[in-house]
Amino acid sequence: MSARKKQGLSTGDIVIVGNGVAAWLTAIRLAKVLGEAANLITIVEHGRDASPAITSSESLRLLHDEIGLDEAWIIGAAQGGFNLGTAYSGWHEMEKSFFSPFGKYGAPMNGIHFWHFWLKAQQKGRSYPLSAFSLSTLAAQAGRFSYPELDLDSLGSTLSYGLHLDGKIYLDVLKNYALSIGITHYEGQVETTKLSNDGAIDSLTLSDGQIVNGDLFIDASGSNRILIEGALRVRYQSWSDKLPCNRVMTHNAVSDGINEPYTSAVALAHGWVQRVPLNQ
Amino acid sequence: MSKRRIKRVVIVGGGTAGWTSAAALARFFHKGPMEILLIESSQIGIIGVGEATIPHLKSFNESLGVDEAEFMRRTKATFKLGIEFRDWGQIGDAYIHPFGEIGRPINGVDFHHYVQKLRAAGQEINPFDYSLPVRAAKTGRFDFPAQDKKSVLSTFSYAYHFDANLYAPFLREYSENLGVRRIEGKVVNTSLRPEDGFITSIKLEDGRVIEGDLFIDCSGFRGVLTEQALKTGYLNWRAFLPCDRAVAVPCETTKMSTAYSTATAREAGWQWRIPLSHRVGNGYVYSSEFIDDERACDSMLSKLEGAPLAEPKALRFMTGRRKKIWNKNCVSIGLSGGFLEPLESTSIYLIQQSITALIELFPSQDFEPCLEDEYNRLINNEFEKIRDFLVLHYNATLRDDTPFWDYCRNMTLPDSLASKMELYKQRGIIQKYKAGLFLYASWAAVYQGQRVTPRQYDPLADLLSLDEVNEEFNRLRTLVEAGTQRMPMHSEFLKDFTGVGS
Repeated sequence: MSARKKQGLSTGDIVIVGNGVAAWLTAIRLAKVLGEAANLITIVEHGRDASPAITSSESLRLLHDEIGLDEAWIIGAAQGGFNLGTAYSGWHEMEKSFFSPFGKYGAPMNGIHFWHFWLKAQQKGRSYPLSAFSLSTLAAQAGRFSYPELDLDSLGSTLSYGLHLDGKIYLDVLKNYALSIGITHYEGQVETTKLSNDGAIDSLTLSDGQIVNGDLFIDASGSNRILIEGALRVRYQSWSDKLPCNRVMTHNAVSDGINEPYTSAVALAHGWVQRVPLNQ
Repeated sequence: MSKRRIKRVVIVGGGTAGWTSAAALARFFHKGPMEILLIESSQIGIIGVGEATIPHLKSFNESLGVDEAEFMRRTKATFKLGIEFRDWGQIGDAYIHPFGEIGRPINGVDFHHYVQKLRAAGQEINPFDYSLPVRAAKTGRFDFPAQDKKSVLSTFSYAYHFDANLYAPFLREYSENLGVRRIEGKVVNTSLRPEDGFITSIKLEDGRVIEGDLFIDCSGFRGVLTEQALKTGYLNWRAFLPCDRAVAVPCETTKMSTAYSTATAREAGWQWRIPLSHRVGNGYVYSSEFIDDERACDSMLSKLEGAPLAEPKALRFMTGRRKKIWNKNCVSIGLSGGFLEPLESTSIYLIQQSITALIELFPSQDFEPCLEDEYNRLINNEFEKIRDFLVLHYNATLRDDTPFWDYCRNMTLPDSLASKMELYKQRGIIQKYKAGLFLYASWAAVYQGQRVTPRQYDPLADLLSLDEVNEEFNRLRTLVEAGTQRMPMHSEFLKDFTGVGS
């Protein structure tokens, strides 16, 4: 147990292991809930886990709202942009593509989903591309963007979006923000994990000999799985028989000047390539 | 494609299930070529399940385009804000399970955690004092919920008490106006297609043969199509819900009309009291293993508030559901599909969900198996969610005055309920699910009304000091009381709205 004062809260000390978006976002979200007791949270920066580019759905924006990160500011700082969906090329057929948008298709009529009317038109020989009924798709393909309108009856409200962000800068932004709200951190590797008699984690010993005690441990160490598997021996369940890809290579290309408001995913012979445009 | 459309639906049985199904189908399909037939025999009585309902009836009526005041006049309805449970947790206890909120979350943490926090500090708190629908019900008041979501007067919804024997004729008129054809007759035989056992036609007593593509069995407990013809089988839940009989009788109204019904726990079951505009419905739901029919009937009659208006009517039932509620080209709706005692007024709700889901998953003549599977998954879930919630009422008790209550207190619970109760007992967590009945407020009402106490509350409730929590509680209580005082009396409101004196 840590000797630190517990502010009357029955939650004990929380120790997060990891140094990626998962670790820092978890720390910040918890700190926002705990309020004054945010100093109960400690991050042990085991390694560094930054992907070069982040592409997100709507949910990251909601999380930013909850933790008080201003969206316009973070897009500027992390040299990012808006993401209206993903363009998939070569998946169902070579040379063919389709767009998977955030937001809605058409509008329900008489309580029945738009999709059934579109299917009916298809079957009656009147074929319209489904994308013609998605504002997000049309905007993305025309390279346009606008915030969704708040009036839920308006066409403009049917659009939704996620974000593109530079992964390395975003991670630094999160880290600075976390430290500014009172989260403590250690920059060491976890050397050993001490378990108590009932097999629960008691404390961590870092490479410089520091001992970090805690009541609740969160393993955000990525594929290292340093606590959950390294210490507690909880085995990993592999789904590679259903999703066989198991390697990723990343590359930062010099901007070609096209800053499209969507992500691309192009199927290749042995996997796929993602393109995330940044404002760099 | 259109050649494979269902051309004729045959509903077997009138009653609430049959005419609800007919009305809903007619509402959505009356402009198309599909024919809807309903076969009923005036020789066979209807059970008229459920004189009390839950708020979904209101939205169902709205989807049919039914005028609310007209519906209430025709069915002798009153408004309902909830159910009062007497003597459940312990003899002498009483609480109201309202159609609405009890307290409100503070800083994103559910209200009941703060109730526990204040109790842990030695304060006496009755959470039901912080519920507008409970206070309105107890003081005989009623009003429609306010539209403004920020107002305390928006924190509830409502349902009705009505005469179920009058609802079916009301829906019959609606259905016949939209082209549903009623055939007087009694089914004596069912023909099945030899290769796959699908129903091809039914034969009536007078020799007429009626063919159809899709059959809806609303014939009640007997299950004329699903059981007698298709041998679908029944899943018996008696181990969880041992009541298997009821005796019912209407009596004269003697008290001011209340906007809630009452379920009083008795020696071997429970007794309902449902106030209508012209009479009071009463019934004793009991387990034949623990009390005999005569004693149950006498016991019920001894608790009536006014003179009985008819001979007591005896009912027998088996709690459970049909193994496949949709089987081949036959869908069982109402008592043929399953039965759960009316403790939480869910019978008509189940009928509505069953027909609504059928319309959403409406098949072609190919009767795609994936539709049947999905339908059964959805409706089985509805049954199980209600079952678990009913079992909670029996199991969450300290009563040890009769062998019936000893059984209920010690019974083995369904796993799905045991895990929910464990979450509540350990950490005050009320499991939230998206599909199926009973939201947070309902579980919170029964847990708190029947003395189920969590060992710990949410640690986040400690981020506020006792003073801060008390301040918030006082503010809410003042709002609830002031809001209640602004509502008209239920009897006055009812008279104004329906034009019928009460």
